Amino acid sequence: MSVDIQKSEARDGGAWPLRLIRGNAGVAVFVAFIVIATIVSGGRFIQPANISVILFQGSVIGVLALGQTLVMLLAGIDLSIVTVAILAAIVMGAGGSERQQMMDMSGILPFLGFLPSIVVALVGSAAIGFVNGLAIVKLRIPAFIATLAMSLALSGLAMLATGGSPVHYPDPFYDGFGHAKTLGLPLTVYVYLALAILLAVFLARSSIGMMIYAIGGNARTAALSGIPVGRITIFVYALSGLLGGVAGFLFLARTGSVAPTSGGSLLLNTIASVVIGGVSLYGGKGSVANAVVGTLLLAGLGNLMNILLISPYLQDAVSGLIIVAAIMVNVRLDRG
Amino acid sequence: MSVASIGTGGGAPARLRSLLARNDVFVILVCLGVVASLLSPDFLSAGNLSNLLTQSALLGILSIGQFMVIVTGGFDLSVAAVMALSSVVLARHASIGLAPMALVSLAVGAGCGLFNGLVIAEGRVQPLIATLAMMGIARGLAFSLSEKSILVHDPLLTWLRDMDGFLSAPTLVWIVATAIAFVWLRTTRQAIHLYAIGGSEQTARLAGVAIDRVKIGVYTVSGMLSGLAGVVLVIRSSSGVPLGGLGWELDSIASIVIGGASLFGGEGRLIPAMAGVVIYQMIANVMNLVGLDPFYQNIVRAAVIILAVGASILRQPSGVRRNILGRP
Repeated sequence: MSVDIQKSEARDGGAWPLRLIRGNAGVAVFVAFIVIATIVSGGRFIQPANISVILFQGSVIGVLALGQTLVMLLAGIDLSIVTVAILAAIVMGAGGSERQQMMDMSGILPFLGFLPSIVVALVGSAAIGFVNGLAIVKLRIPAFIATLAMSLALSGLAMLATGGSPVHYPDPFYDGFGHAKTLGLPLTVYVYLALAILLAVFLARSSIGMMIYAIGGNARTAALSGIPVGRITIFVYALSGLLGGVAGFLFLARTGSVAPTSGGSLLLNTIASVVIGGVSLYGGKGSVANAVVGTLLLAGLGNLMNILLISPYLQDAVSGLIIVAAIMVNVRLDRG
Repeated sequence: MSVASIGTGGGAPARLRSLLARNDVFVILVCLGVVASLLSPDFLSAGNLSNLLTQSALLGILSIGQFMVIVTGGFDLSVAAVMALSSVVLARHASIGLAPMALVSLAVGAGCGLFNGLVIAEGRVQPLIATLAMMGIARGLAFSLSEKSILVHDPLLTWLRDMDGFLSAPTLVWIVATAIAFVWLRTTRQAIHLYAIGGSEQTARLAGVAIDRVKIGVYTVSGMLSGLAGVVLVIRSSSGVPLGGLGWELDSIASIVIGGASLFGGEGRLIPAMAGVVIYQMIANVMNLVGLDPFYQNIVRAAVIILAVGASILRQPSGVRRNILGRP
């Protein structure tokens, strides 16, 4: 965050309102949106119960957006992050409950036990991200292709593991965790916010965080100044995979079931959240705050459309339009 | 490969070898055909072959546009969603008359493509993200027009569907579209510009190619072909299908890459790419004929895509493997 602010202040040109907006475009849009949404919905939008719903709905995409932000800071992209989440949820759902074994599944996933299945799913997610990173760094495969191929392979695996049918998780823990509230907010929201804060501190304060920005700014310069570009890139993709696994856990907790096809529009919305927040697709620019603001904006917009009884299908169309508009605005601001 | 074939030296065996190397896609096609006919005696029946071509037609029409886009070094992830949108638009208003509505569907497709092109060329958004956004827009619009498939009753459709002969109406449309695209790619200057941009955008710009115009044009054409595929989808299934072609954007990319085009742009020939489409469908066709579990079919499909993409990457000299996301 601090890097971002310094950068925007260092850039001069334009009158002060423009400069202010350049530095805080996300916040300005965010505030404007809340005001407009509140007026349009006749005050229903701003009710505490509704805010809690928005946060609850936003938490899964929010965690996915955190992972996506990390790789985008390196000018990369992780198209496999949603399939990682789905596969992790399947492993946790099917491997974590004995009763699941009696269901009509292909029987490939063994019963692991509750905690071991979570550990296996999270370690597996990180390992998948690690393989993505290896492919990108060692084989020099473009991130888009490497993670797309990984995504295809994983959805094949998810199909194989479940036989195509959804996994209904019968364990009371997920139900309890998914719907338990503390201070009026669901626990999944706390997990999301805690991860966001951890990651924000990591990016802004740790030396690895600084290196990530340096690599994203200019990989060659970073390499010449002694930053282990390859190792950090692999680490970031592994971290993105791990966050995908955590998102899978939250997904299972929230919905209680998961199907190999559950991914749907999650990827579109994840990328939309990050890009709306103002994280640059070209690397080196953006922060966790950007990702959080983008996630909440998109979740809030979806919620507003629900309140206004707009067809859920149109919401994907709106996400698409917003992605395009947000990137075009960001490109203009970058140049200005 | 091309150097070897231009050289006139070498005996007959060398020439044969270079001929085979230049046309390795067709060699694969024939080999697969032999394997398929051994696996299932039904494969070589006229009915099944005709069916195979009809199955390939929709993906084939989409892949013509996808091919042109990939030659410029871009991607079009919106082809399948635009096809679905076009089919729904046609089916919903079929009562107005099929012919005028087919034109409207083509225009809807072209409009989506034009939007892609403008966002990519003028807005400087990467093709991957811009067309992913269009995928969401078109699919969302298709579903908000109709949540379920819309059945169309029309004598013209019935006539087209029940047409006798080895080549069905969808196959004929596919062949005509391929022929037009083939001639266009062979004879026009714009076609050379496609390859130039895909080879090196900077060099093309310095050589005076109007890059933005060419890009807007190529995405518009791809959108229009997706619109055409939507019309053919209605002809084939007598309905507009909002869920039509789910996941086909990747299938079309994979088919083209199987057909020898480079994922990195600047390289590829249309006819082998169309052969790639047939190979891709043939694998699905054979898996159906031998009765392979649909879940394993998915795995095989994923494996084929990964192998094709992997081979495409390994074919590139390492210096050329640049970041596909590129920089503006």
